[in-house]
Amino acid sequence: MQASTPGTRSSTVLTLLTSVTAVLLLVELYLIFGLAPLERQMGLVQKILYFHAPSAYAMYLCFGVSAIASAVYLANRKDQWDAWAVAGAEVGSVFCLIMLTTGPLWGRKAWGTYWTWDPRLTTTLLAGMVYFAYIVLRSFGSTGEVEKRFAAGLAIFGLLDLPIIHYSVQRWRGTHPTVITGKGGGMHPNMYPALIVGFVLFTLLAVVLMWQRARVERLRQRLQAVEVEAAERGLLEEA
Amino acid sequence: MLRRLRMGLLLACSCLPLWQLSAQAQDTQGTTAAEDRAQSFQAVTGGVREDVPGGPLTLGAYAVVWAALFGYVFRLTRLQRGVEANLSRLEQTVTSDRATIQPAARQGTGS
Repeated sequence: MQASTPGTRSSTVLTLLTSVTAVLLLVELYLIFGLAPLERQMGLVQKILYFHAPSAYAMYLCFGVSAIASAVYLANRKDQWDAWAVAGAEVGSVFCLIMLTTGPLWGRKAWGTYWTWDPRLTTTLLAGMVYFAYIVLRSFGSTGEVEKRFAAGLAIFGLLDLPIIHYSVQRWRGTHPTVITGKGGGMHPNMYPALIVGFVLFTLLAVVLMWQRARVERLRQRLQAVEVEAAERGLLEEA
Repeated sequence: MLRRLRMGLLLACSCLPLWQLSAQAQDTQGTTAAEDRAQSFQAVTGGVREDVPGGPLTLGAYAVVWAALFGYVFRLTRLQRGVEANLSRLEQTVTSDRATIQPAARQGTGS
C-alpha cells in the first residue's frame, strides 16, 4: 500500500472541508428561507443578517490570521507565513466587501439611508481600507523583502482596528443593531439555527478559501525561485 | 366656591395620571419601534405591510454575496492554473538545461 504524503493528505482534508461547506451552504439556504420566520418590523430584509453577521465574523478571522501570520513572518522570515498573511488579507477583504455592501442594503430599510457615519460602520470601512492597501501593495509592487515587511506591518496595524469595530457598538452607542450582542434582546427561537449554521458555514468558507489561497501563494513563491534560477542560467528569454 | 375648587382639584388629580399615562404610552410607542428593531428580532404576526420594499434589497444583498464568493473562487482558480502552467513550463526548461550542462561538465572533468 502506498503511504500518503503530507501534500496529498492536506489535499484530501481540503476537498473534504470544501464538500462539507457546499452541503452546509444548501442547509443554510433552507434554514433561512424555510425555517426562519419573517421579522415583524424588518420583513424580508432581516434575512440579510444570516449572511451579514457571519461574514463580519469571517472577516475578523481572516484579518486576524493575516496579522498573526505577518507578525510570525517578521520574526522568522519564513515564506509560508507570508503566504498565510496574503491569504488572510485577501479572503478577509472579500468578506469585508460582502459586509460593507449587504449592511447598507439593510440600512436602507432600517434607517432610511444606505450609509451613516456610525462608529461601527466607520471603523469597519477603515479596516477594509487598511487591508485593501495591503493587497494593492502586494499586487502592484515587486514582491521583494522590503515590500513584504512593509505589508506585514500594515496587516499588524489593521489588527488594532478589529477590537475597536467589535466594541464600538457598546462604547459609543451608534445606530448599528445590537441584537446578537450581550445587550441585545435576542431573536425568535426559529431564527437561531440559520444564524448558528451561518457562523459555522462562514468559518469553514474562510478556512477553505484561505487554505487554497495560501497554497497558490506557495506555488507563486516556488515559481519566483525557479524564475530566479532560470534567469541565472539565461533561460528566461528562451522560455 | 370651595365646592367648585374641590371639584376642580378632584378633576385635575384624576386627569393628571391619565395624561401622564398617555404621554408615557406615546413616548414608548415613539422609541420602541426603533429600539425594538435594534435590539431584538421578533416573528411577524398577521399580514405583512412594508413601507420600503424589502424584496429588491434582499435580492441585491444575496446577489452581492454570491457574486463576491463565486467571483473570488473563479479568480483563485484562474490564478492557480496560470501559476501551475508557468511553473511546469519553467521547471521543464530548467531541468532540461541541467541535464544538458551536467553531462557536458562530467565530460569536461573526465577528459
